Amino acid sequence: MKKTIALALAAAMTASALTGCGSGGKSETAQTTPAAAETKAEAGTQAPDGGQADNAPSGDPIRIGGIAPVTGDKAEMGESFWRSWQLAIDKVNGEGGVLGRPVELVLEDSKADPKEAVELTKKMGDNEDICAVLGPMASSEAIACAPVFEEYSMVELSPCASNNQYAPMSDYAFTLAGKMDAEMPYLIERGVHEYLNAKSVAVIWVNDDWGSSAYQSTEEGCSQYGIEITDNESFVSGEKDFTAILTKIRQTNPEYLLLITQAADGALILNQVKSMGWEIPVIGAGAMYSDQVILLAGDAAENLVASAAFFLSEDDPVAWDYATKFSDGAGFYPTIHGPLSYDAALLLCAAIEKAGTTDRQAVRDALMETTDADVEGLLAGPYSFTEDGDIIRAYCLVKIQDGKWTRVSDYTKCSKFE
Amino acid sequence: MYIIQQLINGLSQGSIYALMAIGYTLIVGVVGLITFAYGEMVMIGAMSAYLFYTYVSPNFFLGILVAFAASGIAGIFIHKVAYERFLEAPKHIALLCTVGCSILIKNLAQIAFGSQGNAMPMAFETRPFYLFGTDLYITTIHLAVIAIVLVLSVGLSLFLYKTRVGLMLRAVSQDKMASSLVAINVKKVTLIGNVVGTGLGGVAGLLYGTYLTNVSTVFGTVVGLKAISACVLGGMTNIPGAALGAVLIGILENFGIALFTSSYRDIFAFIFVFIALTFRPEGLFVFRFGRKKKGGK
Repeated sequence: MKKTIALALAAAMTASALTGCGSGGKSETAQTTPAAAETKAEAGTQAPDGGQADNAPSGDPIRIGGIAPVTGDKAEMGESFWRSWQLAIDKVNGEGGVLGRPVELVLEDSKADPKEAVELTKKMGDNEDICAVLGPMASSEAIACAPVFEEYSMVELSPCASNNQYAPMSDYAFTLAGKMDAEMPYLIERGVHEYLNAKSVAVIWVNDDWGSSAYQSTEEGCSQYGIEITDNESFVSGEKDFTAILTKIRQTNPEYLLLITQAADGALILNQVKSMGWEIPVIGAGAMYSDQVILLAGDAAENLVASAAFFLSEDDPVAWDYATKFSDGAGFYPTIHGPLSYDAALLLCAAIEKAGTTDRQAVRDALMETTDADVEGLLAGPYSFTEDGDIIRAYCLVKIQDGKWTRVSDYTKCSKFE
Repeated sequence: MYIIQQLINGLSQGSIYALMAIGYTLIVGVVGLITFAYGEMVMIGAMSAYLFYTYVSPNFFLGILVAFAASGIAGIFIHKVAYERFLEAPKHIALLCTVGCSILIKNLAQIAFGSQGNAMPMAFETRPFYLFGTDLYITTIHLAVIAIVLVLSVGLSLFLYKTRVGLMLRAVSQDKMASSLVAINVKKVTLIGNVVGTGLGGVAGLLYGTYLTNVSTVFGTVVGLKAISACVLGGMTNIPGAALGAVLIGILENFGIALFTSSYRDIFAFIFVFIALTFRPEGLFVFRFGRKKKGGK
């Protein structure tokens, strides 16, 4: 009998280990092996295309940490991160690496859990080979990790932490997302006020660091433009049933519904709005610009308006080339998280090149000075870091028409940043 | 008006919890202890129905059969691994085994299907019916959920009270030793009870997925806890009591959200259970329904 218990327990443990392996497998990252026949050119110069005249990187690899939710609820978002990092690093290695050395990504799985992310940060901080870290993903994780990164004097370059508090927290905290206090005012001013000319909205927001800071900006923007917020409802990530709050909001009779949610949650809300027979036009914060919304909500997502920091289009050959490579591996096209992650990895490599060393402090100082002028092939620029280590972005409005995202405005900033 | 709408929402959500609670209580009855793998049974039902709708045919009733069958088979697995050999052993051994099964199944499902949410294909048109020319409405999903739950509950009580197997199930549920003395094959009956219980959980999973318009491999855990709470509220082996407890939990959740915020959804449900058990540790409905049970439902 003991044997059976042991077997059952062993089976359970194997299963958890297997999921672990899922991440483990992904973390063995490939250094692109340069073909032997390729001619050596000067290290560090950018080859026109990966194919010819490569300067094979050699020597000890430069190790960059990566923290992403490889498994768990946010695994799909995590995939946008690690795949894009790897694509960027492959590109850099194909062009001679950094300081003549190949770059290697050391990927760890945070499962989108701040506690886990902090542990991983310590682990990476203790690993002297790692000179800087890409990630973590969400504002909650990034904020939780920021003090730890500061302790290790190591760069924390999150591709999409957009909580207002995050970047100013430490000298080592960087983000490419653009702060929420730039994006939400943009969406309210250019989208809700100018494009839709709305008089009233009801807001559903996810109760995490990102959502609360976005909601705060929304409140400010709405009062500035005289838009009435008829009701606001928060929910905890993981909530699946929105019928109760939708019923509550519906009786306040808003003109528009504004969703400050991740794509999957937003799609769920759209479906439930439809199934209760409520015809209300919906606006989504930046995270809603995702093909996942169309996939999950189908018809119910039609006419959804959202803000976007980057719009993927076949007309842009560099971005399209990246997107095709990405979707070859992932099976879906990236939205904003992918390109930002890709750019983050390229910028970080450029910063290490600029620093001329893998010293953590030097890399941090160099990253501060790195702009889009230093890097070729960026997707969602322009980039130049503010004193806080974040970016003030231009955004555009996108809309789902005939089951496809279409761009409906030019890239602009909201008036207070122009 | 608005409160009545929340009542309709709560009733429909509560019916789904009720179906889970009924299945759960059945298992607790025949097996004699609580299981922690029930949320996974719910998930298996939902996922298999999702796969069936997507790849075979979006037929609602076939979907129900598939969900019942898939979770029922998983129930056999749980029975073989966690219960069969431990019927005579201390109860915590089987209990721990169900925890292991839960982890195993959840992780295997994540490896196979990922953890992302999937849009549940709709087997019927979703639209609201407005009641009496007011703003109040009831949707086709509400109707389908409530109808299926009622039909299954009635079917189950017929099965339990009008068939030989049902009689054996009730006997085993009351006293395993005595049952085996009157030549009831306890192992077999436990297996049947377990399969029916998990199968009902599977159907509840399908309904829950339809209700949410979304299924994923990770959505079973919390609803599994709701089923446990409802079962405890009802007094562990009291099926109608558990069903009522579940409906109450569903309604309270929706009222809680209506009055406060959705961030506290689970708090309302569990605080209610907490308070209820403080005052009635034997279960809310033990007296009122415990006697009635003999006369049929």
